[in-house]
Amino acid sequence: MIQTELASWDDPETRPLIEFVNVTKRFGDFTAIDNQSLKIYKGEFFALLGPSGCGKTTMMRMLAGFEMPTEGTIRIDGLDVSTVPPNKRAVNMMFQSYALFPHLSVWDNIAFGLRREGKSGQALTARVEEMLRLTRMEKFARRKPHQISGGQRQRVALARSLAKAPKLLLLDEPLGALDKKLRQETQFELMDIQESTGTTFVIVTHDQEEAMTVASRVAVMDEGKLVQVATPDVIYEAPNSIYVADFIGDVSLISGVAKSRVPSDVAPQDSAGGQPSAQQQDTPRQPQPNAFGAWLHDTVFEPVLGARSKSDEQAVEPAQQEDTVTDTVRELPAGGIAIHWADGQDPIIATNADPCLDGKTVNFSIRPEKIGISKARPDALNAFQGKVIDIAYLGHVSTYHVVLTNGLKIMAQVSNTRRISRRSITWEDDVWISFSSTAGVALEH
Amino acid sequence: MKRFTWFNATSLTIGFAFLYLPMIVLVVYSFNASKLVTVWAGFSTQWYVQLFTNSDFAQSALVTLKVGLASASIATILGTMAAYVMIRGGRFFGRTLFSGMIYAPLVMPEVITGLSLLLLFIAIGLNRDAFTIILAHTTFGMCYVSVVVSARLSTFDRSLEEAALDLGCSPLAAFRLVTLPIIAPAVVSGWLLAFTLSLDDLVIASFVSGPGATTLPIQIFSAVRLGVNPEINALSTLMIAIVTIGVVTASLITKYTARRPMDA
Repeated sequence: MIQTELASWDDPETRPLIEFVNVTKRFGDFTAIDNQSLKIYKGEFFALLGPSGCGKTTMMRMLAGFEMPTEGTIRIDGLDVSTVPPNKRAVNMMFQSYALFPHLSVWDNIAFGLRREGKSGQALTARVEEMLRLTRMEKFARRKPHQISGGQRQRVALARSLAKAPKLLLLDEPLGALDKKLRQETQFELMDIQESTGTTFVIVTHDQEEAMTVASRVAVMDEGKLVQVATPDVIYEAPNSIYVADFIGDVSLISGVAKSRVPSDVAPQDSAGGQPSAQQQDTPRQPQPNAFGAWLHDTVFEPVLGARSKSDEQAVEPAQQEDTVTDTVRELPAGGIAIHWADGQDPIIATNADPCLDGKTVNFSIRPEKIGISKARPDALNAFQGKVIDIAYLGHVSTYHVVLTNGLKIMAQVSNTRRISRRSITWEDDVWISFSSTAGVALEH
Repeated sequence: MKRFTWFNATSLTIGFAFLYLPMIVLVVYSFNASKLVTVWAGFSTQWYVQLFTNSDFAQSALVTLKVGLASASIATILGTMAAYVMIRGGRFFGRTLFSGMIYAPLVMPEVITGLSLLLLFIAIGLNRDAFTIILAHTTFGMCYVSVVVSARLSTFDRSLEEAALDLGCSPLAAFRLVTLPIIAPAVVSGWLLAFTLSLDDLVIASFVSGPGATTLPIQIFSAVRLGVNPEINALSTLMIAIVTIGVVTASLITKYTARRPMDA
């Protein structure tokens, strides 16, 4: 991600709009929020993400003023608001149930907060009309909430909460009640409205896709703690824990012991298994059957002649590679760690990992779309043999579940750029999975 | 829908006959021209005319109406407050006990309620008149109101009140502008129920009423002891009409609001 200017959360000079300082919230014996600190900046679209019961809603309700922190302070715009009641805060909330007043029309619902502010006449009308236009609800102004659809109610709720032009808008699972298609459209609408009004949005959601789509930053929560607070790409590409890696998207986890790779010692310590290494670059390539030959052997000759030799002397011609990661042996980078994950298997090389992990047990986490799958041995730094046990066809992608020789299950995702009838890999096929030396993340806990 | 069968028709007829035959007889004979209640002598409305010229009945009807209006109104305010605290007050010590105790007077024999109120009024030296009847009727009317209102409040989306607070209402304004308009149908039907029950009541009223304040049921009861006359029939017919209107209105209001989606 290229950033020309420093984002507000990276700039130490920026004053945060919201500040949680060592906030703890207990309900009886239950600790909902456990001594957490968090800064949210002006203009952000901030997502609190986590499973139900993780404390994300409590965080939001404390911002709205419906709950008081047991310990610590909450500051909005520099002012301590910990004990300020909800009706005295420049914060508005859009409720999960929308909480539209059933006895008032759409128009009166939107006008409700403005009337409490003492606005009337021309100013009131102008603001309500503006909100109706913003949410494209002009035609329904005179309807009662039970006379409009779920998506329209959602927009009225948004209009009502934005009418008072709050400094901060809180959205509690705002799209939970909408069907998937409408939810996706509304996500982009929300982003547009957030951008055009310049309001700081804090959204609570358990839907990781929603959080990734709309938010500038995401806080992943678990059991009252903020596990990781970062931009969506960092959360996805560089999760700081197994919890985050597992919660966001699909991931395969491989646990093993890390050995630091000395920069000069490019070859992995354990090269017994014929690991593609620096030495190999001089070895002349051996002929290898082409795809048809391999198929012919596998299907016709195999029962008679036995398994085809797939020794490493027979390196793959680059042209025969399919969907493999082009991390060639020649460009083997130094540094990082090697993860010994199974006896008799080549270690996983992770050059982006911290060599300080040396000797520790780590979990290597890798996303399915970062893994290539091919029938022939690919020319990749990390390549392992396995068998396809399951294929999940999702239309645009297919996820292959591959069991490695030691029984470990790995997911590999392939974009279905070709029609499915031309798919070359199918159930029970022996395949190679491969990934580059920077594709995964080594996690300590 | 079940098909028509002779068994269904018969049981329906017998059931409703048990419920309504006495009343039909009463209503029919209120239009009897004869002074003898058991002999039909042609149609007449003379007993209604006579009824309205009878100052005793008019007097007690006025007392009944006054007691009904006052006790129903006080009971509605108190009952709504009680329901609000029980449903919204969160958990407080003895909440379960209190909510159970609100329902207790509904099943308490009226004689006991009446007697205990009588003893209380004597103990605190309160003269028995219309005021004590109002107090007594408020006591049991309140239970009915709180039952009806708390049923409505328990299905009420709490976030509506929170939304009102969030949009700048004080807690009192939130109750007035959001909660009350939404629970209004329940409050109104609670009021009607309390009013109707107050009109009906004989047992409690006869314990707590004094010489100066006779309600209509007491008046009828004492008149009947001297013998039934068609005037009583006419009066009873009017009371049946008033009570029917009250009950039907209350149930229509409840039904209408239950049909409306309140969670919107």
